[in-house]
Amino acid sequence: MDTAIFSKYEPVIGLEVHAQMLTKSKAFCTCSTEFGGAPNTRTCPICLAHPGTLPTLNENLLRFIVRMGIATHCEIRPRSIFARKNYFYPDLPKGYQISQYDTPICHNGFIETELPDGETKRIGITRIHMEEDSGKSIHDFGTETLVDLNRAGVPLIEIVSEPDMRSSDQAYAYLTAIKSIVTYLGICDGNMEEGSLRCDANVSVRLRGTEKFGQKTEVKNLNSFRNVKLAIEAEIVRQIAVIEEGGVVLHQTMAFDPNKSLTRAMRTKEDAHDYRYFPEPDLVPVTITKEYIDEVRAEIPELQRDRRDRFIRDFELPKYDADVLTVDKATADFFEQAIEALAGKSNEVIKSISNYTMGDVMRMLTERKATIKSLGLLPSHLAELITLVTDGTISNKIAKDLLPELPGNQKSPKEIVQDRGMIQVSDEGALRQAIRTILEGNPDNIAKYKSGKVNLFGFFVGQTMKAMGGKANPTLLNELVKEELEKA
Amino acid sequence: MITRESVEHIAKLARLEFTDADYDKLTVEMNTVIGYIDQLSELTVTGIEPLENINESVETNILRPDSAKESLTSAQALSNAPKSADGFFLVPKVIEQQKTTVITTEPEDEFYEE
Repeated sequence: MDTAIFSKYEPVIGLEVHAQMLTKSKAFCTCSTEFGGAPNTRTCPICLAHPGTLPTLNENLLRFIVRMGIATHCEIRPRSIFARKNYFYPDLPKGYQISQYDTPICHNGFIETELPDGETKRIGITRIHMEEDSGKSIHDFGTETLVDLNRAGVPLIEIVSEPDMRSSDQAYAYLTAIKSIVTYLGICDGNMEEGSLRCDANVSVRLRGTEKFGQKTEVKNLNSFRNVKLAIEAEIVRQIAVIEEGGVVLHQTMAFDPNKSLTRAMRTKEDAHDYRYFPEPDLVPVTITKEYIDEVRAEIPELQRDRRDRFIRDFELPKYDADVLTVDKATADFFEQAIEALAGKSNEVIKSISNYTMGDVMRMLTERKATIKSLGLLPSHLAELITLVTDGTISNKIAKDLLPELPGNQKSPKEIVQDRGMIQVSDEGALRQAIRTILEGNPDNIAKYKSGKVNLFGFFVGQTMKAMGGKANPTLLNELVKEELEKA
Repeated sequence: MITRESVEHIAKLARLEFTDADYDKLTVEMNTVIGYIDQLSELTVTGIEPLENINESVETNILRPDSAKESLTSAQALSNAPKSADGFFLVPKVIEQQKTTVITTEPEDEFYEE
């Protein structure tokens, strides 16, 4: 299709995000929420829906959703109730899911998102409500379906946005902001690949300049940030093609096929949406007082955007650094602890810690498949290592070689450097001695250098550095090689 | 007024199947029941809030501390299951059991449920 046709249309996108809460126990019973575990080893009479059992609300589910509500500028309902959403499926033991219907505890909020071009856009939050997860069905084996109820009853919150997004980039930015907020709040680990964050997209298109929304479809199966973006793009293209060919977009549920980058309609039960919601009689209404909201508000940490802006202001870091360092709260904590451990806090040293954290430390995380916490590198050790470089005790090269040995090491960088005699040589006499030895061994190269092959300068520096086991002070070495070459 | 179609719809939602004669009988019976309950609509309820919970007067939340306790063993969990294997509940294959409607002409290979 001609790209001019695309520009005739404006996409309208809303997202529904399910976030699994980081509680220790399930929403309404004391079974563990821990990931993994042999099938059906995290169940009890309540989540198995045995007769006569009653649910009790987990205090942290309530606390966590109120945190989210405050962080997303929502109104928190003083009184809300749970509702039963009725449908039959083998991984839903009760025959209904405990959810909330017309009194979601949080509603009418917004978040600020940042677009790739640096613009910010406010996206409305329609509602956030509490519900429980279903179990897991496995259909791919033999003639029967296998059911594991470990996940049945695990607490979720569903965050429904307003149809405020106009491109896949905006949807991506919104989802990134949601992930950042839930991870900073410590209520969800934000891992889409493992299903702790799940996303469905409502997509429609309309002719640019018109008010009325087009018919929307719901796109499911979006299990990574990248797929959310690709699926929305594919669905926009599909809808425009349907309309351009004179067809009508139908109200359907679409699945994204990441291999073909296509969305296709899913089979749905014809009466899939007849859920017959009614108030859950087994749970009392939830009452939220002003005091409770104040108490929860006090638990909310500085969020990513505020922290990033503070890094730029207080540490005079470039925006790029501040963004990278604050994407993950634990990384930002690590960086700040390293700064705190510094003896002298010049902007130069702070920038150097930033460079090491973004470069060498993050590379180690990837190589070792670790998180900043599991890596075992002490922030004070990184600070000490950088201090050794800035005060001239060791070279940058030595520091980079030493860093991978620090995680889990009992000894501090200072101790290791002393033990191994890695201290940088800044003694002029010793350096000149070494340079002269190299020069004496390479009369040919001196002649070539003198005749204009000036890039051989690096050869002499390199050879001397090598002879000194990398310990020569590089700045001083450069100066002295220049002097010695002139004399030679 | 309950029609035969709505009885069929409710039966389907409840995964029940009846004979033709039963559907007719149920339509009559359900109309009697609904008619009896419908007497309530003669009452004036202006200004009365719906009762959402029998314990509505409870003004403090009933909450449970977030601590995980021991669960059942998988053998215990499966002890009432008609069929199980390798720690899983076994149920008739979902895709074959459900009556499904294909909404589009696109070929499909997977079944999804809300």
